Amino acid sequence: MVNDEKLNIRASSLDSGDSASTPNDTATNASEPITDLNRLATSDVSDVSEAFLCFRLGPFWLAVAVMQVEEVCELGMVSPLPRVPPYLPGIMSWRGRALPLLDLNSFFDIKERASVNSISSELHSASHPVLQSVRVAVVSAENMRVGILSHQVRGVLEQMHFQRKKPEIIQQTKLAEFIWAEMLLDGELLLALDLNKLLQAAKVQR
Amino acid sequence: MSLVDTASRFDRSSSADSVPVVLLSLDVVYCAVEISRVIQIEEVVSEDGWSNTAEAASSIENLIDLVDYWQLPHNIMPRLRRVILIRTAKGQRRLSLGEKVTVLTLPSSRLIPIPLFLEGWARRLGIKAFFAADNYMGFLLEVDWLDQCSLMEDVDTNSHIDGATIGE
Repeated sequence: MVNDEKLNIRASSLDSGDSASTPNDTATNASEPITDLNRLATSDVSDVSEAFLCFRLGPFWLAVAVMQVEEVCELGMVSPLPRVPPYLPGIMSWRGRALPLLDLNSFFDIKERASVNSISSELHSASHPVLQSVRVAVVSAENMRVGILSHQVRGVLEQMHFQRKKPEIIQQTKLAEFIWAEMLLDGELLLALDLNKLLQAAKVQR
Repeated sequence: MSLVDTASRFDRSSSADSVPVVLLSLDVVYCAVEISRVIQIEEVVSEDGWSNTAEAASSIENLIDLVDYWQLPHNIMPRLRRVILIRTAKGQRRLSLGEKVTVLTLPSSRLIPIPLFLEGWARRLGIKAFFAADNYMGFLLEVDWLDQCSLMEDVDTNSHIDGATIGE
């Protein structure tokens, strides 16, 4: 059973916006959105503490364990692929390999911020200013490697403390199936992504 | 120098270090076929003199037009159709992509394996490898895949195509 004191500490750490802080070196602030975190407190959770790479997905932050991240790089020239789902805008060359690119906004049907359309729709318009901000998180799981596109990469958050539990806040969304934990970060939802499940689902089948 | 002349004098022999190919391209889409399997490069014409159009190409039976088959965007539809006649395991097939046809040698070092994530896709489309071309990547086609492509039947030798044999 996870007690409330432990949850309070985690909440204040995340909401401080200090990515270098750890749950144990930040002062407790009970006024922070503990309500949402309490929703996650149940007896069937398992804790996971490790470093995560966090990047923007629409109104959320997604977290992927750094063990599954190979690199974050700029977007190179994208070659479109014929007859693939819309969430696969193409491939780019990465270290002499072909890196399939994955647009999670499209995969999860998430609307981007008002001023920014789906990344996929912009990829083939050369030198589009929006593309300059696009970053590629090169990740691997299940012996597969893809580049996840994002307009904003927050960086690595050390010692993130997730509780493995079926998501409740986003339970009505298509995204929920691929999330194994959720918590608040600076008032925004931080979602721990099940990368293995995602790549298996997104893989282009015969 | 015409394209056909260039092709006919090209060394068709492959080696461990390189693969001579015929490259079909349209905008940023590149498709390569090993030249050892290419019989002829042709150009689409129609009976009424309105030549080199997509409509003329569509009148040729047994032709797989990659613009259609790959569902490429209409904004990069080619003005001209060139066709290559290919020897496959079960006979001969015709393939078209657009107006640009180039003969070149792909160094083996520029061939890039298909990532596991895309293996199912590549198998479905008969693509056996990627290759680096300019700033983009192209697709090296598995020629015998054309035999099982649902759009293909036996080549219609009466189709409206002008062509020139480029070797053998």
